[in-house]
Amino acid sequence: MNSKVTVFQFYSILILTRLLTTLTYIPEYTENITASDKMILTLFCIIFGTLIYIPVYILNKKYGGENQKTFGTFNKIKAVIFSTVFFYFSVSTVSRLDLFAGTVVFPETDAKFLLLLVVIFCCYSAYLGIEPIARSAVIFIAPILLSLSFVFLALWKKTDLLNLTPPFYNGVLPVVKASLNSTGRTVEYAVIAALFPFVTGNHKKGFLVWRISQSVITAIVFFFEATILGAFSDAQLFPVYAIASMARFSFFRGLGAIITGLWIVCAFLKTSLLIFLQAKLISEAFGVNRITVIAVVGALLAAVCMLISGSVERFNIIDTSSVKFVLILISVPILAIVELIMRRRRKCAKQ
Amino acid sequence: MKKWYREKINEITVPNIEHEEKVPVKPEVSENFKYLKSKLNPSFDVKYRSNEVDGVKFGFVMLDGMCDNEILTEQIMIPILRGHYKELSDGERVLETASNNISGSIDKSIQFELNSTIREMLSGNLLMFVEGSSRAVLFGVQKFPQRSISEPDSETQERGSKEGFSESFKDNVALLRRRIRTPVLKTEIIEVGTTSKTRVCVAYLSDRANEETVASVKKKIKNSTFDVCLGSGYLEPFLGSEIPSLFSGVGSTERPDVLTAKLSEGKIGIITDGTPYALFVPHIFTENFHSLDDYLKKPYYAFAIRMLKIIAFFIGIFLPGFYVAICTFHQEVIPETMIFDICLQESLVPLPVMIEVLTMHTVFEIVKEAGLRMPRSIGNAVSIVGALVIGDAAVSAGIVAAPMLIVMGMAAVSSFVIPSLYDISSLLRAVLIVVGGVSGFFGIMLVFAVVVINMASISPYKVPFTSPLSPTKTGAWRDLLFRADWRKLGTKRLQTDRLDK
Repeated sequence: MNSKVTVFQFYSILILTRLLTTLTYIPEYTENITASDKMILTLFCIIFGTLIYIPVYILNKKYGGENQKTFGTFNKIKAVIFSTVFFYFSVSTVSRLDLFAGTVVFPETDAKFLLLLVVIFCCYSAYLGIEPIARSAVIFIAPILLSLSFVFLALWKKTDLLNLTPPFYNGVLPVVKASLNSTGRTVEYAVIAALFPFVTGNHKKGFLVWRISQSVITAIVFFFEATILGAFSDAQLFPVYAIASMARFSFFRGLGAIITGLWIVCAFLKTSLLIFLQAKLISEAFGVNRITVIAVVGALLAAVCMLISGSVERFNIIDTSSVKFVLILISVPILAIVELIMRRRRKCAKQ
Repeated sequence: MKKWYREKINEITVPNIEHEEKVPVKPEVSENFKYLKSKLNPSFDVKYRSNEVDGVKFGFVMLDGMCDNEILTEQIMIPILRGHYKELSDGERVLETASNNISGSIDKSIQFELNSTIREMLSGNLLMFVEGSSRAVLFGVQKFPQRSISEPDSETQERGSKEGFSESFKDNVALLRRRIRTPVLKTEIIEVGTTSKTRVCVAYLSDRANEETVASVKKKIKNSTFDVCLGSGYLEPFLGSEIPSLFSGVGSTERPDVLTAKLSEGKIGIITDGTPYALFVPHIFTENFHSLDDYLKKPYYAFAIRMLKIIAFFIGIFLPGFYVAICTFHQEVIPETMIFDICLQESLVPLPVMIEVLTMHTVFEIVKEAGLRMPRSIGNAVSIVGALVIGDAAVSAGIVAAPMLIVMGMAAVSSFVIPSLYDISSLLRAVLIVVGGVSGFFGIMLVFAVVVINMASISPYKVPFTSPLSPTKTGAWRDLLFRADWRKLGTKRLQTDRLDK
């Protein structure tokens, strides 16, 4: 892949993909913490995220200019691990969208056709490459953030500060655990590790701005959720959609449709990016045609999602398992550290 | 399947192969005439004349109706016929003397091959042979039947020039020259079309156009493969992006002032003989919302007009789709009183909303197409029939709902605000009506995202179609939505190739 994207474009994609996680999170799957404590959780996420980022940054800062294909077997292992992570998250993203479509948008219709359509469109975008995805993210980011701000402005009158609970209401440990869980659900760290060499500009600054702005956005979302729904937020399948549906502005009644739109655009970009990364990693490591990989990944993704579609139990198995946690939280920094050691050894041997 | 389809195509097509044998000009005039007649007979409009002047035989060939007879007689034939050639030793010297006798204002070119000579003669040049000379001379005396320069139909401006490109190639280049009177304006001619041999002019300003882009444009034009080129649209696919897209990375204009402005930004103009539409590359999406009037009026007004165009563009594409989606899935979005009114009206209509809107869209497109293709006087009548009979009568008969008609009318009128995007608006509108009816906002947003990503993939000359929005080039935003005052805008010009990633 010769195409490069700028730091701004890259982190714009990540803001949108992470925003999707925030907008579509299901309280059932988080730790037992109050809606107010979720705001504090975002601070812990910055710390854990930075810890994952440090080895990736050092590796690319020191050896970023070197040939990425030096360690054949290691690269293959790395490609397989990352591709598994990305495939897992693709399944999770599409299935969650399917769950939303099946329960909220079309409760009486079978949404399998739409699911298939989403996968086909995402495969097409992945085929177009990282540059169009990155450019689209920059085009979408301002309208998406503005729409979100509009929804929150419309919700302002509905907030009630009495719904907030004191910090660490159930203790510090559940918040830390929830932060680890949330960090484990952040596929963006794996994306950073995979795409780092292809991003031009000041990475460190980009990462910090992304991480902080992301936490601020998440904290704002949780603030509205906590102050509007209070303890009832845990009873909602999709609390952010629930509060957006309560919003009133001028003659508009319920702004849930805006959240639906944002959700779809973000999910589309995220899935496209993940399919693209799988194709890129596999084709580079194993010398397979990129288009073939996209087709295979698309077919697999569609098949798995079809299998999950319509069954909340199956979705639970996929979404609540600790696989994400292990894969993201452990594999990303460990792979970076191992590669760092291997490269250092090789450098010493040469000297 | 692919093989079968290819065979079916081969059954009815033949490849465009150029058979061009190189035949030298012969010293005998009669031999040259014989060759030309073998190639051009029985065309009645090719005229052959041979005259003997001062003991030397001259042969002339011309295309009747394509030459200026006055210039031909007074400035070519009279000087040649009055010449003295007796003392000259051979045909070569006679040819030189005769052509030197001709007025300096006439284009002359010496030819050695008959095949290339035929092409030039068929373009309206006078061909002259001299007995004993293995060369021929072409005199530029073309005068075609042509339309005079008039106001462009498709790009009317309030305060801009009233001149538009015409079908005359030389006039079009002259219109450009008149606006850029510096030697940096380069105009290179390339011939395209195996049979038509259509002249295509690549125009650019050498001090700012990217050399790589110029070379790429010339290469793409040379590599274009077709038999006959009847318009600039033939070249568009060759010059545009290789990725299939609704949008084109190639701009088109009927106005010489607009093309001049594009060239001044480092873009490359392509003028095709016989068509009043010039192309330019690289073309970016936001250019569709700009017009010459924006630059001739106050900046705040230009800003308002551009905003209006953007709103109109989105209304033209999304409104019917949203209407269908709201009526079918998302009734909660609009006020209760409004939804009750719509429900009441729609309940009287026998068709589902999606089919109803799609039918009206099709009817509108038929009326539009009929109005466009019919003679103007009948075209107006068709429009009236469309508006009154189909619109009013359909509502009265309860076939369509009045709110739907308002929505369709608004969308149709809005899509005319940006003529260059009309085709895309119309097509996307139809797609979004279907998608809105099948999957509501969900499908609409999905299709929109795909369209944007497809648009973002266009970058035929390393300048992304979505620039300066993405890649973000804030420096170019001074003339994006808001146009800066000329006192600021005039100091520095935009360099298109800097809009890359």
